[in-house]
Amino acid sequence: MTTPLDTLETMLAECDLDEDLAPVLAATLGSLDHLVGEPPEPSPELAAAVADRFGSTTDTQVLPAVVVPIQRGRRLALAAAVAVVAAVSTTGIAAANNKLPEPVQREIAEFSRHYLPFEFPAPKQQAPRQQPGQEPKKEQRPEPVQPTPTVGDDDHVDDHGGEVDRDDRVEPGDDRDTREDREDNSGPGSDDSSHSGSDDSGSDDSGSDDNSGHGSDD
Amino acid sequence: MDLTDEVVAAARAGDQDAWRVVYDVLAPRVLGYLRARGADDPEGTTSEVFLAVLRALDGRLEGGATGLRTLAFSIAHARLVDDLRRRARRPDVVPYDPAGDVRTAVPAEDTALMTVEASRALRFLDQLGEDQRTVVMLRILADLTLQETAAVLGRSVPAVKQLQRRGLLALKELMTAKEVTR
Repeated sequence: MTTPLDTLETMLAECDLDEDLAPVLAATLGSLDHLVGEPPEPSPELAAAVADRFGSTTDTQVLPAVVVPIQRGRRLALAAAVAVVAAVSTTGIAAANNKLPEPVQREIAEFSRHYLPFEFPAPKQQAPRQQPGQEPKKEQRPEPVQPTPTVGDDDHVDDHGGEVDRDDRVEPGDDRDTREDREDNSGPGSDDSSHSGSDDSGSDDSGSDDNSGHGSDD
Repeated sequence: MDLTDEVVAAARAGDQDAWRVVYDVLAPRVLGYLRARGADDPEGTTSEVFLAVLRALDGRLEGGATGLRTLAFSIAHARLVDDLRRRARRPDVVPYDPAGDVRTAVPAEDTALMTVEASRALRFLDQLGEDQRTVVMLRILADLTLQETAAVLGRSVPAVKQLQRRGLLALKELMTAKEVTR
């Protein structure tokens, strides 16, 4: 390490000047060395660049090792979430179109009926199995029954009158339908029959419809 | 602790201890040079200089220790010139504070470093021409050789030698006149 005096002597010699000037100049210019102190603290950018270049174990070096597993975990979680969303939406669309296998469709319809604000359709009714060689049965629909005039009949008293038609009088324990039931089931225009498809009791009603249909055939 | 060709080669090969030697030898002088020339942010600029030096280690660096020293002060000088030009174009409009003027008083944060004698030396140097001042400061503060100084300034060695000669003679006259008037 050269001192300012050495440097000034060299400079004077290089310029062919009297080297005796060196002490005079050094007395003042030598104090410039006071401006040279300790190495300054490197900026964060420089520290990070040094750590990156030389691979020191500073905080900036540790950071990627900690971050990588977290990023990998997040990536897996994201992939799982995407898979779940895709599966749910695909199943939902298929269920809405009633294209799922019948047991699954039934379960989903049941679930949606109880727990969701909307309902998926119940599975389609399976057609009865046909015997080989047997002709397919025509679908039998009940003939529309002409409503019999009941209002204004002398023998008939409406529901609130308490009197019941003689022929239809119901004894306790009698299995026959009441007249009211018959009226309810008598025609396609009745209110209850229009609800029967969506009501839970619809299957029972359809059974009575069948009976009435056969009865009309007879 | 000297900056040798072997140290520079080791730093280029990725030796962190060698880099520490490079930084500990050069950074104080770069900071001193920037501080003496009145750079706006000497510490921040020093870090910028060494960021560039770090990048240069991976690139094409020739000349070993001399090449590295020349490179560091070339960058520092270029940043300083940019800083001075920027401030000349758009000077900071602040009320004059004598306590903050390095030519007349030592800033509080530099009190420990810049002694009264150093302030006096800077006042003499301020009376030199820009190029003469730069040459003298690079020779004394940065401890560069004539050839290294010429490389930093992008001038020929004879031209720098001439600037050096005129600067030293001017300083001698200034100091002598000062001594007479005392």
